[in-house]
Amino acid sequence: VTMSGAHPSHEALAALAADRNGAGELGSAGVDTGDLALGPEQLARVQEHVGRCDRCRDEVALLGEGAAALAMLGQPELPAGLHDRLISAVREEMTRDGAPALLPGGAAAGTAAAREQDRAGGEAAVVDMASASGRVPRRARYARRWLGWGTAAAAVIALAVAGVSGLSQLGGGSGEADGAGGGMAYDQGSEQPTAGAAAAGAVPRFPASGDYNLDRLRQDLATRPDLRAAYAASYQRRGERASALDSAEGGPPPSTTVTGRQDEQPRTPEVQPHSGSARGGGDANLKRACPQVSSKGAQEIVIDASYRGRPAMLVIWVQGDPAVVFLRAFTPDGCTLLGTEQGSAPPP
Amino acid sequence: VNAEPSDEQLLARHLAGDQEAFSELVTRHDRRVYSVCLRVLGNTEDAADATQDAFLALLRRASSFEGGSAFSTWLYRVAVNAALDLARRRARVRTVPLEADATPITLASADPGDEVVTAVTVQVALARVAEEFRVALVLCDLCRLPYAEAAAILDVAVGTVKSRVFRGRAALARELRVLDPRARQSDAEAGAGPGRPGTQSGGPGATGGPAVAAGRLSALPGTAAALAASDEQAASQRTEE
Repeated sequence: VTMSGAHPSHEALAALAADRNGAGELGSAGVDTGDLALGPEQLARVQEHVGRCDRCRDEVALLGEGAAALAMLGQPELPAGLHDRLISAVREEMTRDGAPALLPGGAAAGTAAAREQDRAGGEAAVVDMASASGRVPRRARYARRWLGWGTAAAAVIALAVAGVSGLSQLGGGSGEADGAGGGMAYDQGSEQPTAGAAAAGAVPRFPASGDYNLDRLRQDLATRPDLRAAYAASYQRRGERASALDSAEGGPPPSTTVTGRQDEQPRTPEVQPHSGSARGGGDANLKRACPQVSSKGAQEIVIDASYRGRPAMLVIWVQGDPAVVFLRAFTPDGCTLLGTEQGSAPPP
Repeated sequence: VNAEPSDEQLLARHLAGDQEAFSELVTRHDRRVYSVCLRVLGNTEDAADATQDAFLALLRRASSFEGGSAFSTWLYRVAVNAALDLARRRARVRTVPLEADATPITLASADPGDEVVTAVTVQVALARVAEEFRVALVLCDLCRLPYAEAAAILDVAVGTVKSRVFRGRAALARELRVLDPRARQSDAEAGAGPGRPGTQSGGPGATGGPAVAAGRLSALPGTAAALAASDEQAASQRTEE
């Protein structure tokens, strides 16, 4: 146990180092003296060897130094604001579409109650969570996700058919196809936008220096015509997608209190290694952060700036009536949600 | 008697639909998870991101927890994986100057001679230790988990964990010597110092106790030098990339 060839084992040397450091004194180093304990005879034999072996003597010294150094590191304090950020992220994860771990009132996914909850929108859903008690069965969640993908696939097929027979022939049906496709275009995880998205162009992006938040946005709207134009487009189309989706589902038109659908909320992405370059193109990172960012290209604005001192990609959009402006800050790679803000949206 | 619910009970409540149960788990363990992530990643921003990733992963996989192992084992495993995943995603483990770090590093040592600089230097050195050794050190020497539990977390044999811990300690000490070669030189000049009687000069007696080691570490150059070395390493890594 104590010897490995001509020299004591690492374990025996570590035990000797722990013994020399003093088991009682070194308790905070976490040296497991129970596991490493040497009997008196073994200890004497190892000590005798170390006394005449430079290599082992240096090894014992290193082990002792390393353990003593680690003993100086305590448990760090949680950074200010991190706890709130964690709670916020967890609640957002619980309410986000595709994997709503919890819905209020025991509403099963796919039911009218669940759809109604969806219509209540992101922030409203978070508020409702406080009084919720039900949980969506896992199976139902995934059934719902597949239903969404199926709808998207149907929309793509419909668009393909439209390409053959002529878009104009779709008539009133095009609204339904556009509605479903518009909301689901990125649900399939495709790196390529749908035909509709391609036609509409990319989500407008604006670089900005320094920290960014909603207050800064309000200031910039007064001084940056390009940003103001994009904001105006988002503002004017704030109810478009909710109406289209509502129509696609066959439900009633949105009430005046609707603030948007849950599936319009950018979401914290799955924690998975990226395929391809982690520093890939901005659009790929945007889709990683917000898989359901508008395929119409005019409802969101992306600001490349910093958020609370960190480089960030900020996704901003306007929803609802009265209009509310939402901000989601992600790391530039789209992997991590840094924070969220919302406030009343000034008319453009 | 209002006994605190166990972690497993809180998880069960969460799965049963209790809206606050998971938040309670977050509150209970956020500092522990952050600590693991910080020690593995070496900087506060990445540690905060990894902590968030870890709790979201726990949330997503809550229903897969079957109680075959302790909740804490599962928690540490997810935390370590989140930290390593983030490190790989961001391609390298970085260290950031303490001046830009609002989070104070807590010292465990009671020696009043120890300074924050010492802990920073240790953290810098720890970030230079190979990943597999560093993780073992974090779990066993910092989180004070038994080798068997660390082995379960890392899904390796107990002997492998021990080997990684021992090699990690030695590697850490070597990094500390690199960060402060003067300390090593003065150490040699001082001979055995207050070590045990009968030890040879420069021998194991030189590390005769934590106070001695702490004294040596306290003699390390200031933060600037340590961080300059760190920056050089980061620049070197970037060049290699």
